[in-house]
Amino acid sequence: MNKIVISLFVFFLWIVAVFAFRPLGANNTLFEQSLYCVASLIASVSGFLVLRAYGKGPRFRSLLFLSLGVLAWFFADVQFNYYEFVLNNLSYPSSADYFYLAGYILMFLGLTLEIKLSDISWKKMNKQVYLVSGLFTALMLGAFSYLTLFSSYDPKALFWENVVTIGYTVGDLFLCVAGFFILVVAWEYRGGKASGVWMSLFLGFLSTMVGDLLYAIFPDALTSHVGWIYIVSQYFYIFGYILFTYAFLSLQTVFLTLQKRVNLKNTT
Amino acid sequence: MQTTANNEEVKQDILALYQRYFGSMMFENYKKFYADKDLTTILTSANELMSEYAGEVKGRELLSDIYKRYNITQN
Repeated sequence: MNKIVISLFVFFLWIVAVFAFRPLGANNTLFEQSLYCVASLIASVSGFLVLRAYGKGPRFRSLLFLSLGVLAWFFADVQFNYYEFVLNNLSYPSSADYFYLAGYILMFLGLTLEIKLSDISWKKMNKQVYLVSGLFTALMLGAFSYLTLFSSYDPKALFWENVVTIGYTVGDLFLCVAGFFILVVAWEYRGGKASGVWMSLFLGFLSTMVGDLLYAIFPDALTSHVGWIYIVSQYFYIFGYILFTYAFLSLQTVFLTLQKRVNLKNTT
Repeated sequence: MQTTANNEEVKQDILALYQRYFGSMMFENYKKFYADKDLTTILTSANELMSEYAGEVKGRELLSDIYKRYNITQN
């Protein structure tokens, strides 16, 4: 597990340096975006590694949806950069946007199923946990609603542009609500290895949502690919992918460790 | 640990719990491991495993349905 943490930490430090020091000068933006895609690819592959370690069972569908959700975001990232840097023609909405939205739906489905399978004892739950998780969710929902919900509809824009823009906002709002349940599950499983997996997932979504918030507040700064707001937002998005990777690889390690342990017992 | 439960039935329920949380690989591996084990060993192993994954409190709770179903009491 330590190897995973160290590898991901070194990868993130490298990304921080590439964005901050721009070693490739004029070509650096393409390099930055390639690293962004690598981060989403690693997260997606990690999701499928969990599936392989799990095999068949009730959680297969939920883990598959989560993995496909990250994969959809990877495809979206690649298409987005292809349109912008190779074709020099990034329209809105593009197929990349549809993949981003599909990612939200798949993630939400996966989380809903996972939470359902977590056997949460709602009645026994500590009231303080409800309070803290509820307050957090209300705060995030409030911030997103205030900053994006009312400004996402543009009467001058085309119908599909509005559908996609509102889709992003709704996707984030759904993830906020899912965040509440993830925190509850993490608390419920406290002291166990699963708790760390849920906390990493939660922080991964939080990081992605902060990136989305920055995008909603400063859309021009992000599309121009210059300035500290752009850099910080990219850090949040990439850190989100790194946390997803950590969550998936932690879960895979739990499965494999338990399997190996019993394999050893079977052979002795 | 006291019970009048059928060893095989308890084992199947515990294995079903493993399949739910850890998947088919774990199910198969533990099916082999538990083949010649007595009920006390199986329940101790299940307690350890579920506690490691879900924490001590939740781990016990996840197994509590099986304990209740077969009237198993812990000394």
